[in-house]
Amino acid sequence: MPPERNEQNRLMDAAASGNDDAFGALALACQDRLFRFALAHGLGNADAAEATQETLLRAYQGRSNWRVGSNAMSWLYGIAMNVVRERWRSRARQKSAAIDVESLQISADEGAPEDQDARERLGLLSEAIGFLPPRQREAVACRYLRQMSVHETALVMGCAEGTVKAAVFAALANLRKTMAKY
Amino acid sequence: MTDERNNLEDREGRMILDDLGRIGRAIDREKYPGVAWQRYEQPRRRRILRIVFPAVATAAAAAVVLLVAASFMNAPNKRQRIEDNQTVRKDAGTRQTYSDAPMDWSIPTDMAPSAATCMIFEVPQFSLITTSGADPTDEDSVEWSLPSLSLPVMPDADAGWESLNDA
Repeated sequence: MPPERNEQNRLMDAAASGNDDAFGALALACQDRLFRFALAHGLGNADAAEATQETLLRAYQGRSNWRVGSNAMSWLYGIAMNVVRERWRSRARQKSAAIDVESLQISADEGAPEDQDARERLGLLSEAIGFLPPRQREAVACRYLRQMSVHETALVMGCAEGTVKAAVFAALANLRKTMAKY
Repeated sequence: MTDERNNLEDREGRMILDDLGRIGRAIDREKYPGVAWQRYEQPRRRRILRIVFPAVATAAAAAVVLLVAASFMNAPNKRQRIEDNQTVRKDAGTRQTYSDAPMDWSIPTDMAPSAATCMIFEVPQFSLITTSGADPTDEDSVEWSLPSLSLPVMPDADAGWESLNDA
């Protein structure tokens, strides 16, 4: 059972004051969510694991910059966002950031596609997300793949809420246009 | 027509949102592979490797250098052996040359014969004896014999050179 948000904030407060055990507990509580965040932004399993490790390492190194009263998870997501961006920047030649739908376990009890066409549609949608402009892709990943609020998405992306709304609107329009071709 | 298109767009939009939700829920089931401390152990192992590997590499390089040095030290020996072989061959050639050279059995003229040193040899007569009925050209049936080999006649020291001549 992961600690509640206020518990994570308390752990981060203790970690910022030099309690390494508290940071270890926070890392254990947050590592799965950071890993899923990286997966949602199109990194493969191995890359996402490394990005998670890098995020926790940077958080530990920068724990003195933590401001008491902030949201620990948003702060960690912000670091993870920077790590993901750097990873994509280092692979400038790889234009697509498609999510590997085949590797995900889409079970039948949660509305998994029954036929091959539906599975292909999911693959095409993943491809389409990968070809979106970076800001639109980040907005879709945060809002729809990680179910973040507009406010939290804006915090993580480091932009205004209006920018997030516009990016989401443009992204959905692009996805609709792309999927209409098939 | 416009309403139909709007309905179609809505349906497509909902389908996209549903599919995004499916992908999101599938991502929710993913687990971080490995707990944090295992991940943090990895850099420590890398540090150990960074220490151990150069030591192993240095030892291997030193062994290679020693092997190369040993081979260089052995090289003169090899050359010496080659020279020795050449010497042997040279000697063999020399001996062959000597053996091929005509032998000079004559007594040097400046050497005065004396009763003590002079020895007279009877040149042994070799004869070819073949068994009866054997083919002389067949080497297997030919017997070589040394019928008469006279021992060297030593001159009588008391008699002197003249007595030998008289004999």
